[in-house]
Amino acid sequence: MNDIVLLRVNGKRYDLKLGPYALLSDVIRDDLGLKGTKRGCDFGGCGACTVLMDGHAIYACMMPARETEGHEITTIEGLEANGKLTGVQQSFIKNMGFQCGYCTPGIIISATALLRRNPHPTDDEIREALAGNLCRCTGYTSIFKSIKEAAEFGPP
Amino acid sequence: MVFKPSDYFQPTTPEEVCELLSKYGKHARIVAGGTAIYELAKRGLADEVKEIISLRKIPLRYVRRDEEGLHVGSATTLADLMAAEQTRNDPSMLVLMEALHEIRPMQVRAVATVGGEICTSLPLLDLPTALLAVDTEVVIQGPTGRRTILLEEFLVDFFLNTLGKGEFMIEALIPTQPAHCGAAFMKFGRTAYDFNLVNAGVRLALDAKRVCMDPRIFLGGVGRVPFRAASSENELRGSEIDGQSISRAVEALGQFKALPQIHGDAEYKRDLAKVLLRDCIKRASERSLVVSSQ
Repeated sequence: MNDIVLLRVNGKRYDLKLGPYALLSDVIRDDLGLKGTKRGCDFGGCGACTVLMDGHAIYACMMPARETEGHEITTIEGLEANGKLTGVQQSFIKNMGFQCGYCTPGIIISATALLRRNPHPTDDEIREALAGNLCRCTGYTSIFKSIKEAAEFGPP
Repeated sequence: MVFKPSDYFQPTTPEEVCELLSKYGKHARIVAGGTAIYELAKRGLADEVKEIISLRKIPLRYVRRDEEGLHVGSATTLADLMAAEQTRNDPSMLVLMEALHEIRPMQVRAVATVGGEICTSLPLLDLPTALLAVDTEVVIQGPTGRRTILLEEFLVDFFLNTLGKGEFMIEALIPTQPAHCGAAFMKFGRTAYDFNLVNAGVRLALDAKRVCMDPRIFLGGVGRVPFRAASSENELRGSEIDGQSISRAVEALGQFKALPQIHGDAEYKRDLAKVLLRDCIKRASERSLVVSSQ
């Protein structure tokens, strides 16, 4: 069974013919060609595939794409506006909040979800928001600092 | 992609859901947030699932309060429930909030649902233990109509509940709690992100003399379903809550059966349960006293 599914990703509308359980992460990467969203563990453990759905961070790897019909999906590619990076993105660059960079899109999305809802999080709230994102190289100190100081660089 | 069901239905009425469930039987599964089914599929435990039935197009995403209590639609996400105004300013709901805060990460809370937490029927989950402590009932839609059952009777075994053919969960009903009621939830897991090794949900109501009425004590993670510590409840019922009665209640747990896991054997879990229970009774009783004095 393949149906036409209407998705909205980064403000654009896509009509896609998808199988029953086509996953959002596969659709974003393979059908839309947006490779910023990563595959990691592929079942809700590492956070590399994190995207925004109506402002909430979700795991794209376990979300059937058709369940997102009627919702707005934002990937890492959709954060910048007119070539200008968001405050969170700039803070990650200035604070070196990454090393290999594989987990970075997911972490920036999680941080964005947090800061848009709660612009002045406590240290614990930042750590709580990172609970679903694994990083295997930097350790979390520079990631934490990047989020803590993001407001200095502009809106999330 | 490892999970390849052949059909994906998005019915718009509860009756349609029942028809689909009746038609496809054990090959059909309800999906709401989809987190549980996909993880099972990845582990090779959902090979028999061929038809997916989504609840997205049925208005089951709500939290409302009436004279019966708090009604929570089965497709309500954990994030919805955490943010619901209807749970504010109600100290008995703190037990739910504490459980929801222990369910991580936010990526899961944004999509996982109250119905999924209940109907997955897995003792490693946190919300059921908290819901049990406040006498939650489960409202079920079947081909011939609706029925209501206590959550305590709904949960039967690992991945097993009393849903019959063609039936699915409509809502959880958390009845209005007794006066002067305090409740608390605690969890111990290996990491903040992990399933519980043990969790505890306690509700009690203290009268003006600190005498405990109507206690509920449940422990999750130790048995195949959350375990009701009836002997501990008996120690508290009619007693003044103080260090001594709490110790008696904890000791009354005795050598209960606990399922060993790779991260904790039975003896370790029993020890953990005692510590959690002591702290949880204490916290619930303090809340009850605050409410009583208002």
